[in-house]
Amino acid sequence: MSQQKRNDSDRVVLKVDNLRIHYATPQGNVIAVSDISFNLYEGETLGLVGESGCGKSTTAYGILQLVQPPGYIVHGSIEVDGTEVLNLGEEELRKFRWTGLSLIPQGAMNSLNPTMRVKDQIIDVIEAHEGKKRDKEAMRERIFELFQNVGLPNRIYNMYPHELSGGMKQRVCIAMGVALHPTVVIADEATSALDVVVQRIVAQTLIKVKDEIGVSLIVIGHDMGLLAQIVDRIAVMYAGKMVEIAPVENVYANPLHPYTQLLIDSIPSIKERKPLKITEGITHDPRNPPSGCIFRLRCPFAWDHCAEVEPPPINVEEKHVVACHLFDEQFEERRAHAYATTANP
Amino acid sequence: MPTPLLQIRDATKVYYSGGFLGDKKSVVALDNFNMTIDEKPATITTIAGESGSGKTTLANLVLGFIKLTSGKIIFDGEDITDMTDEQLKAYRRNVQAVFQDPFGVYNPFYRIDHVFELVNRHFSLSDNQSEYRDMVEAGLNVVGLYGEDVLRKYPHQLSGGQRQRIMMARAYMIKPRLIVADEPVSMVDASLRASILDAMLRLRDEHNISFLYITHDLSTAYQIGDQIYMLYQGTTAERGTAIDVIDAPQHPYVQLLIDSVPVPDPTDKWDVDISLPSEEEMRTAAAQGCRYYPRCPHRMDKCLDAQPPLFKMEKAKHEAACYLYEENEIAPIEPPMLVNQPFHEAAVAAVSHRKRDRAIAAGLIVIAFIAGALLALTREPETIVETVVEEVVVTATAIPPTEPPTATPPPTATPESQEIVPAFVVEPEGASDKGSITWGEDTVGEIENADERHSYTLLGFEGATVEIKLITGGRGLSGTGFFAPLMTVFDPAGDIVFAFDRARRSNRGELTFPADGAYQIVIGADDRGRGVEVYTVTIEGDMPEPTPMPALPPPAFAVEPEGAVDKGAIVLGEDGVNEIENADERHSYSLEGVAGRAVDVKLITGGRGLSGTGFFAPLMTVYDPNGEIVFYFDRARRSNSGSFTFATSGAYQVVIGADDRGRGVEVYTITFSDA
Repeated sequence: MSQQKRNDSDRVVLKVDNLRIHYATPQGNVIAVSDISFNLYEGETLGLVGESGCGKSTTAYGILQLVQPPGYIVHGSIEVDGTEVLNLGEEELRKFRWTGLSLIPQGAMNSLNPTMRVKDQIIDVIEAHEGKKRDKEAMRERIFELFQNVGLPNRIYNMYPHELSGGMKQRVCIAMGVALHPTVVIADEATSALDVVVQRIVAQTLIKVKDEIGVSLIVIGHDMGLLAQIVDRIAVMYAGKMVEIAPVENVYANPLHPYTQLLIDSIPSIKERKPLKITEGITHDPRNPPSGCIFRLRCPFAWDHCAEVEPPPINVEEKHVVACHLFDEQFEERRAHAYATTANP
Repeated sequence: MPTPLLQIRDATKVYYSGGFLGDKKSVVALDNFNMTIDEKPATITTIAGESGSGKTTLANLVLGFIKLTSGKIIFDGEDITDMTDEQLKAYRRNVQAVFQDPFGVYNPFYRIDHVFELVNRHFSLSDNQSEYRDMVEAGLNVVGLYGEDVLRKYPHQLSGGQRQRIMMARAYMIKPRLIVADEPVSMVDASLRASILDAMLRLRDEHNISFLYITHDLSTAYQIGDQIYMLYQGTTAERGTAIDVIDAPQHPYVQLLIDSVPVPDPTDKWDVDISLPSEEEMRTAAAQGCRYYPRCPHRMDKCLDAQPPLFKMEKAKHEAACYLYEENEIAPIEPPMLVNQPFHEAAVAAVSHRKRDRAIAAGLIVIAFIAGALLALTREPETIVETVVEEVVVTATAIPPTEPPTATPPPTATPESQEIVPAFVVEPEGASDKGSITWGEDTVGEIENADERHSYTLLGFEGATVEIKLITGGRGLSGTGFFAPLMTVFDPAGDIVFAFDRARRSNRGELTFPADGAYQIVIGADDRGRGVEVYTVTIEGDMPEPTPMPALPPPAFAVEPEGAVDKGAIVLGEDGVNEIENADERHSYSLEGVAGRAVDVKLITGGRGLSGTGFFAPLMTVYDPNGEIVFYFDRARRSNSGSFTFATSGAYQVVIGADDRGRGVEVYTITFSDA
């Protein structure tokens, strides 16, 4: 991974603007994703993190137009390379998936069809978009090339999924995800069911393929350690809101939002023993979020203002946005004070 | 030398598959494994390794779920392999388990209380209700929870972290000496793991309970583990203290494993790409040689000859099974220590002794119950109703209607016989998973959620008679001060057509529906509807055009304003006991003549509780007339009772469910006059 280049492109390939997704329940709508906006740049790997139920997977499924009822998109805009995804019809959308946007799903190892050979599943994806191919030999070459991309041996071509190990199945899914060279690939917890050695291999595969094929990648996960290894920027979500987006180095060295600090603090380390930092999960009723800042009920720095005004996204530096009043210039003194009183400024 | 708590000697477990006609395949899950856990001090022994390394096999062996192929497991000097059922039960008192999936181990239909009730019953832990409740509360407190926050909730209302801590509390209640925790944190968010690990540390340090902590997550092992065993394909690759092994791994496999743990530092990235050998190579791992040979970067010919024994490393107790260290001394395997006196005899005796005592106590309880009942009748109810209704089984029996339904056109999906009636599903989205009522082919409908108002539009029911049975789980009724759980059925006109009430003293009854229409069922609430949520219900099934849902009749109760005041009255009265039921509220009281008066404060948070707020202790703050804080519960207190003395008379404010900055508070002002 040392050869991994820093991503400097300014070309936006995915632009999510003011996206809001609700789940309808009898007691009211659960606000799963609340007016979030972010950009994904060309060739970039963006990590999307947050605790269970924060809306990270829903965001991904929203981008892919795969939100299932009772979930629905309330409003927003999702542009992939200038194409507004929300305006696409059923058939256009079908074509757009795999070619414009593709997904490596959560628990991908169980998403392969157990009754089809690996080759047939990949051919299926390709032919569904490019039509029936006569040249079987060319197709085989193409699949072998994909196998090479993801580090799979050619001998699995004729195998069934149950004959493969978990890590190999995961890589078959990656191969399918990139088979049609989509613009954006979303990997939803693609490595969380694997043990560390295999996880490392799969994560490396993901990054290698991304660089070779030239796609942009969104990696959803909650393992902050893994994300530190593979992403360029991290977007932190809390209860449906995006609270901070920052280059990965900033997030780990200098987390700004109090929630990001909490996340970084709770990463278990194998370098030093630290006192355990005990927290509870999301505390409010998602149907009835608190006024003002979404995090104020758990925030150690919250004051009256946080209950009254929702913090706007504040650009602290290039590609680094944080939604917290402490970074509003008029509250600079309070910030200095707040951070002086914590162990982890 | 004292007898070790747990000794495992040459433990081998082989799984066989296939083999109908001699083609028997075998997998060696655990191969000549040795381990010792000392009795004191209590320790957390980590078993780590990749999937398939034998971790879970080991856990299942220690728990007695599966039998060894060969070898011995000795607990407190006694071999556990040939135990009778009675002995096994006593063994289970000493060895408890916490499993990986905090979602799968709970029955979603039962409140959390049920978990404790079951274990209490099974192990005959307490002699009476109050002892039982104290036990549960003590167990919950150890893991940082409070009974009033969680006991009356359903599993889905708690976070994974809370559920896992409740499993710890349950295990603790039995006062075991060893808890086998199989991946207890792997399905819980990283930010919530700390609370579970903290509970383990407290049980170890304050209650002398040892842990066998099975995990593939080395970082948590590093944070809380004492000893660690790194398993590779059923053998110990390396063992020692968690810090020694993880800081300076010696075995090549363990080195790779630790190097692969992602470092949460983007400036310290993996510098080499790794790969695994092909499956074939892995499978042809030398039958008698080192299991890691196919993957090992340091492999030598010698490694194929025999499995390497554990060699001693520099640090005490640090050992690695690798021929790279063959110049070191081989770690000796201590012979197992057996004692003749079976450890469990005493425990078995204790159980039966308790049973006898309980039989005697039962008679006394009946007398006490009747006396209590008489007392309760003569007293005004002063607090919110606390029924412990766990589920209601509404059984639609095959009683034919007295006359065929005529009020509406007969539904096509409804067969002639009244036996099969349309299936009703409590289907306003989120409610479905808790309160599904299927009044369908099996003729049994169940409503599990107490504290809820269900509304059903019933068509083709006119004249139909159903049997209703209310099943209470958990604590039962004797502790609640009620004779019968309460359930009320309102007909479309809002009239009560059926009720279980205090006087009924029964949990069965029969109801004939007077007409079709929207019925409401209120469960677990009193007739003033306190603690009730309202659901509407849609109908599923091949119904004819359903009649539009009539507007719900007005509730037969008034709770004002918005359910608050009725619950939140504070009566600083003659008995000196005051209760404020509503959390999340700021109460203001003008208190006259209270100067110098000392009061005891106990905070009972009831249903929703504060456990979700991120605060350990429920928080409550009392402000005096000058706005100064005169009393509070804070995070550090970890308690829900205390006392203070009023310095002056005047307007006091009480803020509950919020910290001293008033976060999460809705403000109410309540006029109050001292009695």
